[in-house]
Amino acid sequence: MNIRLRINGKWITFTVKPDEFLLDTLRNNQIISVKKGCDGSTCGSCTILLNNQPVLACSLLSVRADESTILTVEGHAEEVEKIAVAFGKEGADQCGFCNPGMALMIIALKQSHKNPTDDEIKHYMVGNLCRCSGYQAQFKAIKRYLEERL
Amino acid sequence: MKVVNQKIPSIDGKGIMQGKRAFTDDYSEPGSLIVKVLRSPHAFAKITDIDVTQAEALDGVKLVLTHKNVPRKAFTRAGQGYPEPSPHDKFVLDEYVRYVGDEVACVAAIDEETALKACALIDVTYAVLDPVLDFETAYEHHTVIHPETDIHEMFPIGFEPQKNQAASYHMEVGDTEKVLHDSDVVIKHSFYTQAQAHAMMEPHTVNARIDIHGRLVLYAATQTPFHVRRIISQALDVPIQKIRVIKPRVGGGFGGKQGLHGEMLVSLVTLRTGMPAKMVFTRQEVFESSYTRHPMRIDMAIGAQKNGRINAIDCHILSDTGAYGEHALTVFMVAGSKVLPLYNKVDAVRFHGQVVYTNKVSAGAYRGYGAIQGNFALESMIDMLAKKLNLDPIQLREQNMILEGESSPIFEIMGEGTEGTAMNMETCKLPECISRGKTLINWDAIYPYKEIGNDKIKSVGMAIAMQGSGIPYIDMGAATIKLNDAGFYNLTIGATDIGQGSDTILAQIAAETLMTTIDKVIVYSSDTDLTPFDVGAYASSTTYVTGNAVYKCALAMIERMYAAAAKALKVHVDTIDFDGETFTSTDKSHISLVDLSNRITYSEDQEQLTTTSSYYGIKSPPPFMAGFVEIDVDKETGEVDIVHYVSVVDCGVTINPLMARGQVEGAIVQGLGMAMFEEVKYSSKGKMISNDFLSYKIPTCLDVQKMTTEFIDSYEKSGPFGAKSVGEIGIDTPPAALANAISNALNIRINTLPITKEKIIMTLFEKNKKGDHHDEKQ
Amino acid sequence: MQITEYYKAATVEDAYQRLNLDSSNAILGGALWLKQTSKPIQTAIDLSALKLNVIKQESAYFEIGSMVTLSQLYDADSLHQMTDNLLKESLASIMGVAFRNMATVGGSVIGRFAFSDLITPLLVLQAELVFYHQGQMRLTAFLDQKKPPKDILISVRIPTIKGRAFFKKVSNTVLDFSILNLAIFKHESVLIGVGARPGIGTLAQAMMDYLNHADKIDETVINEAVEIGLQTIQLSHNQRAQKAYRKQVLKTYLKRGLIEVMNCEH
Repeated sequence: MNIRLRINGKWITFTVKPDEFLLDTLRNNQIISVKKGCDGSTCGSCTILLNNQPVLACSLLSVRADESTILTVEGHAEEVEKIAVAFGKEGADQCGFCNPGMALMIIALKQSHKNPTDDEIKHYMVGNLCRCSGYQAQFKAIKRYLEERL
Repeated sequence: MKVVNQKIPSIDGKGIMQGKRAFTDDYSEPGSLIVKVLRSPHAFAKITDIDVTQAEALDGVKLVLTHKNVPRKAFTRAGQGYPEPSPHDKFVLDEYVRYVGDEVACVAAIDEETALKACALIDVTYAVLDPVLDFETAYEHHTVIHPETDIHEMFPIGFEPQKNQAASYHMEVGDTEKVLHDSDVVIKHSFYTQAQAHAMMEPHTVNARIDIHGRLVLYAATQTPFHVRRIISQALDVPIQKIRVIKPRVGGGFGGKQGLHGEMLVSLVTLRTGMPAKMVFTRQEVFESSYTRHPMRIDMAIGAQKNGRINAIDCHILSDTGAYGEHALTVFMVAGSKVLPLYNKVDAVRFHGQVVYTNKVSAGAYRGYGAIQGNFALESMIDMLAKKLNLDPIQLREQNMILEGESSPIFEIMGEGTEGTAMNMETCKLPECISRGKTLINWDAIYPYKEIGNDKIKSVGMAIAMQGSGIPYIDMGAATIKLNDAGFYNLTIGATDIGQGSDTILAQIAAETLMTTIDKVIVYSSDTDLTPFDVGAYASSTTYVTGNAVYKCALAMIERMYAAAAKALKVHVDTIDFDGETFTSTDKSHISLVDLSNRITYSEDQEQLTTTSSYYGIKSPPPFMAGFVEIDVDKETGEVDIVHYVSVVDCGVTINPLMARGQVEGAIVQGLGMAMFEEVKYSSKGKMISNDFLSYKIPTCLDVQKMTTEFIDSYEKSGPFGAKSVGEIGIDTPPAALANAISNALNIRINTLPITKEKIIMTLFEKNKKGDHHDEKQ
Repeated sequence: MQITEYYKAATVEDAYQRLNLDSSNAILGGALWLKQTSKPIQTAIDLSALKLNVIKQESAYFEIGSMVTLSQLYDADSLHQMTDNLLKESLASIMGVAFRNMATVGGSVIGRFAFSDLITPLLVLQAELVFYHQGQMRLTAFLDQKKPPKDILISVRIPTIKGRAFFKKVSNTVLDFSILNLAIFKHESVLIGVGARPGIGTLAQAMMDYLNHADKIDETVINEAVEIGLQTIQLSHNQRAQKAYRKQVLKTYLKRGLIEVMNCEH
């Protein structure tokens, strides 16, 4: 089947199978910023923004995304750059495999919460697993980004 | 210092977050053959017949490998010093399958669907054998897991496969039995530590192609690219010069990638077909078919005087290496060698035991590497002894623990698989770590516990720990620095950044030494063709070992630049001073680094300045830490809130305080995962049932409320700019600190990890049933 | 996991016809656990064009379309006001935000997942299910059926009853499936639901009957009610916990929850 996606501002047509998931469609077409961590709805590494909402690309059937707008980190370059700076300043980067997904969650958090409390930040980010950092530095970096101390 | 000990952001963090091509699978060639493995459904079986005709006939299938058409030469997947202290007990593919998930056959096809279909078409007949699933009955079990005769040890490690023994060891200082016997009190307890999964976010990944010269080129998510090259060459009989291993950014390892996983089969596919091929482990394969931490039973006895003097420690360990013996002896030995010296004033100490095979997933290297297991036992025992003697557990530690300037005979006796290296503790700030930690956790106000209402109790617990900094006389790291025109440098290193930030901190060491800024040092790691040798990322070695190599290399470069400047200025080299930018002679003549580098590149006295240095440790200065946990525990449900974890660490000078903190905090949370939540579980038939993130739970950002991490002033003379290691030390204290906090809160002792809510309640029930109402805290 | 054909239904009738065309046809919910299913699907029927993703407030009930996501439900403030945040609290403990943006109310109910943290609170809110063909049905009745009907779930109705609520999920890590979950809703009478026993969510009927017929509610009555609950609510063991631990957790939180919602002095 053919589907059309507006990925980072550009309409692209893909031929997909009925049981193909968007994560594979994207990675097989060299959109490699989206990471495959668990491929089972549990880790958050494949998070993308679908019509501005964070979703898990590993569990979204590609056909269901037809005619949707998709943003990956490349489509949010300016904000991602700021988040990256905040992560750098707090020492929140380790292996980075979960970071593109986490960056998109942080952007969605900023869009949906005006002044999130610490608790709201943690509850918003809880689906994004990280095995390296212990989460503390990331949490500080998220606060730094939201408070624009860059 | 301008660059070292500064909070420099990771040099590659931004690019990775921006989703730039960074990880192994990002470099796979479009159109690569997809390699899939048919895995054993049985815990132990012999393949009596395997028919691949249908699979081979399937359209799109390019190659099917079974034990019948692959080289048979025993090797170990463990990426460690050569000759390895691990038995060579693994084959590319074998007629025996030794755990559920073991490799039966391998298919390479044009796409994943075809490869999976072909796997399903392979007709295997198994003679199912009686598996060994309980490691306590494995030794001399009627089932022999490795009956084959063409396997061997590289040097004596106690390898007796006919008894299911992968390794064994015994050492003793003094007469332990006698000293125990003569002590005022003796306590003896057994502890069980579980298999823990590494659960790095990036699955094991590898891809291969043949280059223009007919050489095999691998991109691999590995911690040890040079070991991978050597092992593939040996096992597949390919000349080593025909293999190139490139390690791009690795998405976490923790020891799980200190070994070969898909590398062997993908290499063979590409060598046989000539086509690019790739393999990305599914998450299920990461759990079921890579490594876990070695589960252990630790039997410990401590003898002490009534005044708290510890006279003797006796430690016997039974370790479970699973189906193959990777790191069997060395992890086991570290459970003694990086634990027992903590209390060095004893008259006698014994460490002995064995490592056995079982029909479970192979155990391998895992951050902590035995020390976390041993530490759980010893640091639980210290609190138990304190209770028995009615002494303060912190004072008891302070009375007996190792101090600066002191040593332990264990350092000389126990190395990793071989003899060790004697050393004194040039730096050991344990007293400062403990005292600062006590303040930060508010120990005196809480210890041992406080009722806080609603059936909740607040308590604190603590533990101390030590680790090492590389393996003396074995681990070698090297660095090459090249001066370019316009005066910037390339730093190439074989050290492997797997997320811990080694590329950044090694660039900091180079920049500090060269008196320049970090943007002038371009780092490349690691590539067996282009970068000098390094053993890889393990044994907490990179900062100390490779860092020293980088430091030496930068000094050598400065010397070369001085010589070139002397030539350019036509003065004697001794008259020159260099400030990182300009060479100035005492006669006031001067030349900038930019001009000098341009001169020797383009115009006069042309030469390429390149220096290479290497380093191996002649000792392994341990980092130390004190870990403190504050918990709120619900005495009706056993629910535990980790309210605060305080880590005070002596790792020498932190090359990058931000990244050092990240190493400690990440390790603490991973250690808390082991202490509280994580457990690799098997069915009664040996099938792993905790094989995804739904059934195997790693901590989330909500599971630890607050962490405080501090570094004590410390300067290790033998380390680069005073540094020791920091990669593993953080993981050791959480299990014992938590067990001690639970004991302080509820007066129960849990010796089996993980300490779940359920275990807490069940232990409380058990205690109440026994009518054991006397309060040991009196 | 295998899907031979994807079909986007144009009307509910269309979806219903398709579903009943072949026994291996299935409706797509949020599809989050689709990969974990082994049974091949002939036609996967997508309801996303049917405008079932709406929450409507009628005078007698809230009508939650079956394609409403868990995030949409999380944001339904007037519903949460009425239910003392019962649903909101239970939803907050289900996986992460990205997951809840995809998971649907219909999928969560139809899946009849034993670990469900949503079904338990829906039970105590006396939710009714509206099917296209079979019409309205109590959630309890639906859960009692051996096999779910081959029908299209249109919506979940929650009667407009204001009350006080208590929700508790006990799990290993925060993100883990429940070892046990408990929901209590008190208006004129009190409803108590227990899930992940590990069996699917159920109402604690005997306990509710006892409490709802009691003359007054004090600690003695609550203790007696908890005792009845422990004797009548079926618990068992699985990978996540033993029966004895579940019992202890149930006992503790039944009591704590009742004291909280009954406004009873401890």
